[in-house]
Amino acid sequence: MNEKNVFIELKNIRKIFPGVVALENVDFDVRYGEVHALVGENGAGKSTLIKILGGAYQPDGGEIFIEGEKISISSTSMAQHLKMAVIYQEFNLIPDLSVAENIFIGREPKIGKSFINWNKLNNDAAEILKKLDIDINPRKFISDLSVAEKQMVEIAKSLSMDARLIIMDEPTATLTEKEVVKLFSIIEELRKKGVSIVYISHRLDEAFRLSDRITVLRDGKRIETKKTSETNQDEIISLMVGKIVNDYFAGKKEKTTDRDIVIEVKNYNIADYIHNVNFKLYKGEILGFAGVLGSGIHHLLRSLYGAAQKTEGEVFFEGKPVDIKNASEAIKLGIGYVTEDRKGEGLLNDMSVLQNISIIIIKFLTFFKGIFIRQKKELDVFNKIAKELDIKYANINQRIIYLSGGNQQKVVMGRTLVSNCKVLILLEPTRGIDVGAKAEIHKIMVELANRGISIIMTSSELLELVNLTDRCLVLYKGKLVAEFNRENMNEEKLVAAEIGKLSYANN
Amino acid sequence: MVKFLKLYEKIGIFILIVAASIFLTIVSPNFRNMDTILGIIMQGSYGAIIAVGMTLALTSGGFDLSVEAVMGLTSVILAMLIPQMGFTLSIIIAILASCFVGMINGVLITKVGISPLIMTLAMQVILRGTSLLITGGRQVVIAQKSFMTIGASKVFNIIPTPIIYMVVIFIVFYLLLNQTTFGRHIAAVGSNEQAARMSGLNVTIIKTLVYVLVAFTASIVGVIRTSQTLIGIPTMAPGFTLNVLTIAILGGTSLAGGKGNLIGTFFAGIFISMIYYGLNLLNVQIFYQFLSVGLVLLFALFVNGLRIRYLESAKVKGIRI
Amino acid sequence: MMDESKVGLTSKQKAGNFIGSFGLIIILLVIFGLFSFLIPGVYFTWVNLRDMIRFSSFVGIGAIGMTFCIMTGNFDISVGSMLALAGVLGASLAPRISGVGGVIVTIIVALFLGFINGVFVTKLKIPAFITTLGMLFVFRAIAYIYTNNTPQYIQDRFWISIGNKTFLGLPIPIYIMAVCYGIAYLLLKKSPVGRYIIAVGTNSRAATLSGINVDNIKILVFTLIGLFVGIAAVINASMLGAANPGMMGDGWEFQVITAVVLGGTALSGGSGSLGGSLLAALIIIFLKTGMSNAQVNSYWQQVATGLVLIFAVSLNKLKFWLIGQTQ
Repeated sequence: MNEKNVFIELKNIRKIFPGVVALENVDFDVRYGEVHALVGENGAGKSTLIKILGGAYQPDGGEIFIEGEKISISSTSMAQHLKMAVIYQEFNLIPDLSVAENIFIGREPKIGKSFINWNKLNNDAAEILKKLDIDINPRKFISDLSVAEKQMVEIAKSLSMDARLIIMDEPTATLTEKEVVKLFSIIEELRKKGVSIVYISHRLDEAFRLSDRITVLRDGKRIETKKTSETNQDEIISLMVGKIVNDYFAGKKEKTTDRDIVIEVKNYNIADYIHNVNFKLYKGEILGFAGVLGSGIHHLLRSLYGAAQKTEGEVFFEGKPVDIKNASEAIKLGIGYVTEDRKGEGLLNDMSVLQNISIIIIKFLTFFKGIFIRQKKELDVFNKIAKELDIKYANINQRIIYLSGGNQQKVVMGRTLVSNCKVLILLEPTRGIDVGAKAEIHKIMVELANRGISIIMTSSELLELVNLTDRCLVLYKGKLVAEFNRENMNEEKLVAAEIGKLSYANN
Repeated sequence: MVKFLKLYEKIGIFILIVAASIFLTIVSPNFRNMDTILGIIMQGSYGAIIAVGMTLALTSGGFDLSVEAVMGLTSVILAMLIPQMGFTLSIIIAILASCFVGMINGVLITKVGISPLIMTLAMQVILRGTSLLITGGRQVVIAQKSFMTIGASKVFNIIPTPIIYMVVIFIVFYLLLNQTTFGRHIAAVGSNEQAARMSGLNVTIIKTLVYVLVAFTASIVGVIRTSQTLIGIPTMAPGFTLNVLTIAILGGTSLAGGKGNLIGTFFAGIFISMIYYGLNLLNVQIFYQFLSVGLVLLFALFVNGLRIRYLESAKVKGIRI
Repeated sequence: MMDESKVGLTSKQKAGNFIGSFGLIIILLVIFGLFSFLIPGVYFTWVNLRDMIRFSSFVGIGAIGMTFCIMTGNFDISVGSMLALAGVLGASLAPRISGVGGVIVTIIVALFLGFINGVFVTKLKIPAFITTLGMLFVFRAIAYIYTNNTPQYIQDRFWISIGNKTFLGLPIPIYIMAVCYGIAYLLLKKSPVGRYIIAVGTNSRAATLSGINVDNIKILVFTLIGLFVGIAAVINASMLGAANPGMMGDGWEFQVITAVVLGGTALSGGSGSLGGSLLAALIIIFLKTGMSNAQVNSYWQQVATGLVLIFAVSLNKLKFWLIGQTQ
């Protein structure tokens, strides 16, 4: 490799989080004017790597060279100083400031010491936007822009800092086709100007259209770096998926023979997110939903629980039409929901293990017209579920936050189970949980399904879906694009369908 | 509807002022008199000046409940110092002392992480106590009559000086908020503190300076009011903080931060004064003024709440805003 | 396997827990000891002690509702005016509808005002402090206007006896406070509603997903504030023999909020302690009485109350920082 061509080089990068090795001996380099795609499944280590590049994380081992010189990127401002910009999925833009102000924040052109030179500010911004062929009025406020436009502004902002390396994290996840085309032409422009780009995306076709080279990460390791022209999508998919033996899954679930429909969804629409989706959920079935960011699955499942509103469509629960407006109606029907954001909307931090379990059902464990809690009964309910799910805790008054991730997850699941749910919606049920506890959660899910509870689950670990589910539906940009059953489901097909490469026509 | 709400944010206060003007013209023959109008504007200037500072605080995502106590402190310092050091030096010391108070507010809010609500509420009580301590609980008469020229004279024999102060402060703060980097960074902090920090802005200093500026405006009004009455009053203007907050919110400044509307604040100050004038015509007691300000605040909040609700439901329906 | 989920506490966490558990008792003892030492024979007497507890009932009862409210992450700054409005209405009607009727009116009016606050806060989607700040002035103004700024004297013997008579050697307000705390404790610890209140405060999104109607819980909490403010109003008016539209409850909100914050309730919601609020109410009155007995200038006392609030918040911050859940 010609050393002079390389802008930045990472050698043997290692990053450890408590209990997890996020990156191990990763080598990565970016050449001048190159688009380097970084691909891998969730948890492969992509975001850790870009955070190291952006100065948000410090590596625990390894070296970084810029133009042959060894450096350390100690902070986000250091990264800016080194002319590297990261465009995160959640933008760092200020909604109530104008486009021009955001592009030049902290570096505004001034008249005298403190007055903003608005003319120069707006002209400079307009010039940068024009260079990129972006048609946005620099005087517009960020809050009035679409997601795509915000992205363009972020790109303009990094260019205004003369960034020589721009890192884009899933830039197309929420863009329309037209906007994607626009973004690609900008990336082409940048490449011509000698700007290097690291491009992270779930959508392999994009990586192939844009990139010069592709690096595949898996389980925190760099698997391969390939010239794009010398590889193809099938090869990359197989590299991403790998042939790891996963021995931590519990025994396969009995095949459902029961064909009672529990939930039927017809012509379902959620503005901006879900377009005309139909599906059925059978009794005792584990139904998987797969899709990458922007697929709309999250909104679909939330609205089934009444935590988001549908715009159109019908839902039938055990044959009867229902209109679920809020969580308490869903609970009454017998639908349970376990969030993927355990900390943000699952755990009741200041409350005990016992209270976390009983919060939904507590109003029924009462005497004296619902005024007083039957503590004995509450304890019985708790003990039963704690034993069933094998929840480990020091004592019932222990605060929930002191439990391990796996036990916290069991508590949140137990909360819905004690209220006798017939349908359990599990989002990312094993996220942030160690291997041993994962197997336990899987075992619990299979047992529940065998008992006749219908489970809807999502997982960004596709192998989990392949191993656990009876059927798996794939959504792409809010539309149902593929359905697999146990016989014809595998990881490669799921990946392909998730990124819009496979649809009903060819599965 | 979205357009209407956006429009209302900008010109709502003018609609109210026009309505109030028409009403007052009908019920009061004196209203068309120039002196009356200037009088109304002058009465409104006190609230408006502090509300200008409060607008900055709201824009930064905070607020300040200690302003009325800062007025009292200023008043007391003036009354105690003027006999010894004359006007200029006393005024400078009083204003500097107030700015120092603002700095303490800012530092404890940003560094210890005390919520602005609790911090400035406690500061109000502390300052009230301190002011009472300084004078021993009495009101102190200022003998130097010439001090009155500052707040109770008229420029060209027509325009009361407080109006001049209000206009000057408004212009200075308007430029500060809208034309300087500092002002825009205040909005940035109020709009998205995290992003502001990531963009390299010094959030601590920006916020602290905002509280200094609020105290500064409160102190200015303290000087004006003291000069008009020639009395140092430790418990000056009880309840004035509500007045100030109402003016700022009615003027269209968002409680959520990021959006400061100083023009709205300016005219909301005058509008509140028109209400007072109208109530005076009815010859009602001062309590009705409290009631009316409280109701106007609730009205402003009601409109704000409607806006939030509408925007939320629009989002659910997928309407681009 | 049990040990796996048990987290060993660091010395910092232990210090934090210690502040949470014993801090208040130590402060109370120090204040009591200090004044007993400074003004011997005046402070540490049965009569003084009894009176201090009697007076603390006024702040203590108000602090109950506020504890619930702050636990849900909200704030009610209008309680002082609410006290006055309910008090003057009840007192003015008492001559016509008997003392018992006046007492009931006072409590119901306060209850209703609290309910109004709750509806405004939840439906306007605006921070509670600003809504209740508006209400602070509206309530007070109505109290002035209704009475034409004249105190409403209480002649009724039943009402007067509530705040001033003793039963088995102890003043009646102490019994009332004990009953109020008892009910509040049952509500918080033994009824589903208590669980809902904590759940809303600690994580309102999780509470919503658990099928709890967050708005209704908030309205309930503001109504509860009204209930306890009403009871406090009855006692206060009885002790003073009158309901004064201007002076009644002036600055009371400050004492009540200080008591709750000093008592260890987190301003961000979720965790709170009724016992802490009660102890803190005692601390405030012990300190205030002590300063009065020691003839400390009343303006110094005012400065001190402000400093106590800042101290209380800082202590809370320290506690949570030590335990390691910075907010």
